[in-house]
Amino acid sequence: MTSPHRQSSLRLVLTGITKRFPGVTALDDVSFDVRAGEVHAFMGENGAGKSTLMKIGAGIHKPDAGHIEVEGARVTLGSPSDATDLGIHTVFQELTVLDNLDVGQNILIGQEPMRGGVWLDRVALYREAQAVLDRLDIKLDARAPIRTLSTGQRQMVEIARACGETPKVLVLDEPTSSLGRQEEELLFALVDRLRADGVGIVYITHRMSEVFRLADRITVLRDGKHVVTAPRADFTREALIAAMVGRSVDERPSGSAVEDLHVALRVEGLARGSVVRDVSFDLHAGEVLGVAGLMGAGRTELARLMAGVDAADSGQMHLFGEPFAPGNVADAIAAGVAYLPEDRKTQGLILSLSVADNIALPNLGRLSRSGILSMTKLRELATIWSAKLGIRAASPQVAVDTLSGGNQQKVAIAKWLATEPKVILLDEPTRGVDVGAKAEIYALIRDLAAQGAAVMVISSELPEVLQISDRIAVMAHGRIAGIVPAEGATEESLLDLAFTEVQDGQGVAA
Amino acid sequence: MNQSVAKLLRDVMPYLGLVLLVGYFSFSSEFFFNARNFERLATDSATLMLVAFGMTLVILIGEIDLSVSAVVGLLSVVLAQMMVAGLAWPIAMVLVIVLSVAIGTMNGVITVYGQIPSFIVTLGMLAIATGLAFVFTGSVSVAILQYDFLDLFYSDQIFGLPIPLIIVTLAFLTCVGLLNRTRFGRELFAVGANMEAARLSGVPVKQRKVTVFAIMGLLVGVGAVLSAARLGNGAPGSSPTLTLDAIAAVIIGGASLFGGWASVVRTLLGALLIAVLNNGMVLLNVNIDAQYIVKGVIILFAVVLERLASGARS
Repeated sequence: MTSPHRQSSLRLVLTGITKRFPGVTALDDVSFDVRAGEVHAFMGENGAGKSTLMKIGAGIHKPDAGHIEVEGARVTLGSPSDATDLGIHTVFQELTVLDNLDVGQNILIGQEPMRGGVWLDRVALYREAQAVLDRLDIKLDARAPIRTLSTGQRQMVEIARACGETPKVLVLDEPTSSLGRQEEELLFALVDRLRADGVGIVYITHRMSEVFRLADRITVLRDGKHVVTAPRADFTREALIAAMVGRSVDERPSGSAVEDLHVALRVEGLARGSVVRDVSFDLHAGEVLGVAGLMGAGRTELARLMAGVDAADSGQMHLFGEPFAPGNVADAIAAGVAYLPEDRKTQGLILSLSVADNIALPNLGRLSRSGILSMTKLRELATIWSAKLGIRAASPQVAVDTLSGGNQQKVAIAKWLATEPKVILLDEPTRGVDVGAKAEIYALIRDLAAQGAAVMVISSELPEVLQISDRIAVMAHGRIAGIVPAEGATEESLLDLAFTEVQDGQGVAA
Repeated sequence: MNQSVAKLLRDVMPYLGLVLLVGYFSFSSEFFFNARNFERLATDSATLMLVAFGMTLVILIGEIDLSVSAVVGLLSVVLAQMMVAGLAWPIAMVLVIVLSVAIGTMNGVITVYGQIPSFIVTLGMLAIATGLAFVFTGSVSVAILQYDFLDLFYSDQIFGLPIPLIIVTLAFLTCVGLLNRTRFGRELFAVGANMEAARLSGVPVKQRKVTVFAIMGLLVGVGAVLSAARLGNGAPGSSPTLTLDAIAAVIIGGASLFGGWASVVRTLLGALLIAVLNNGMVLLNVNIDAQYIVKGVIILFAVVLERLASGARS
């Protein structure tokens, strides 16, 4: 579907790419191209083949069939350095900046200016690195150590590294998955600037809003097959979702208005250092309380205090009227409070263990008598919860790292639901999962509340917060800047609260 | 090497290696393949077996214990000295085992609460134990002359089985059950694979780690008693290759050196392989220095194989 008169500006063309792995065809005759000065968004559910195609473009995988052209010339990408030599740079979702070095050393890694061929020329290094940063209008000091930077700033460094010399093609893999709102805007501005410089940008994401904000063209993959490539203007949100999942998904479950709520967890004056300051609010049984705020507003830190992960400096909590002061996670589990951490790979799951072992982990106490495990009960628990959440795995015995992102997240949620919590704190429950799984997780959250659980959902995606919550708490600078009913709230009104400058000693109570 | 080939090799190596070694030694030494030698092999390797089971748990949680050779030396010296001082052997034995649990616990506490890598902590403990053993003996071995003790752990038998073999069997079954059928054991896999995720799932990570070092101490203590009974004395350098052998057994058993996966059953095979190797090399009069080299090569081979087999999964 490329327009013939712009053939000359084609930067990268993949034609008829097929890639098979043992047991699966990851890509089946897929073609894709990117032109100079365009953002080509690349969408599909997890497992659709996006990352495989990206890895072929990056020289990590070799295709079984099909061919690759860079600026009209047929090439073979045998290794990642073949790709970068040809000007194709990929910024992966997992950042690879080295946090023991500083910004400049990261940007010029592997191409440091040398004096006499042996000695690192530090002056030239920082001058060149700063020039790259300035050219991209990234407001960072080349001498700043990486460990002092936020995730968003690290991402900027990663992109700057790829843009040391203006690349022909830049592939961004879910670049906003760990960014806050402000950082996102900086990233979008950077993408706009690179596009204006004539870079061909491949933008992989799950987020609709970004696609409609940035993309010139959109390609959708499903089950390893090419579904459609068309200009952005040809898509509506609904049409795009339908193309990705191959069916229409009800993305918006209606909020069940629960009346007669009683307080499940009362939080009073909770504080830890400067990250959580004098936070008070009530979490009701049967409600979904959304928690919005910018990165670093203290949302995750608050949830960790509530779940016994970290200890509070001051403040108290009452769970159904009883004092609740968990000294560790096991205390919280025993009291009926569960916390789903934000990063499933490093915190939520043990990837090398099986689905069954992961689901069993917080439940081992219940599954054993005087320390001896009942293997029958363990298997039952895993089977029941795999089925309840529709986890697609060959068996509960397979390792979690063989599952797709959406299914991994379901396992991470399942292990906590299996503890039968009365209060459940979900930190970014849909991060990095596809549209279908997202809809299932939303429905699950509504179900939990309908069954009487008190649910708190931390999310960086405002549409998500607006959609699933009954009430929304907005945090800013470690405090709750306000709690509003979801009905009537808008992204603008929430952002307005998120940018509140709260004066010391004036915590806003619920 | 292809990853699946490496995986296959890693999985069959303990079996294949054992068969090859037994075959080779049976062929090359007339003293190898007979009941008396096998009984001796079992008694000789009892300490290695116990320590290797403990090392499996330690490596499973992503730690290591380099102090075992030195600690066994120290304990054997203390045991012998107490008996020389006239203490009844059962009391001396219990005291030594208690001391060993205390040393193991100390390794664990310093590692976990001091947040210091265990290889450093146990290296320090190695130096301390070595030094103390020499202080207590003035570098000579101390003979044990309480014959009830020597007989019980050396020549006495129950149901026709040497007592060390029975102790090893019980320890083996307990460790297998502990790892696979208890809450504690399953939690160790989680701790070894991802400490943070384990903590966020309610596993008391620090307590579990210290407990593993304490269990290691218990097994080392019992191992030291068996070793002293077999040698009939307490001496600082009584089991110079024990640490190396125990780690080799665990690695040959295919455990991940980064924690998160290990198996006591496979460690048993690894330890048997090392025991047969030790026994056979002695029968063939292989020079002690050459024995070190052979074992070093085997360890490195096993480690590289494990790395290749686990591929890019780290």
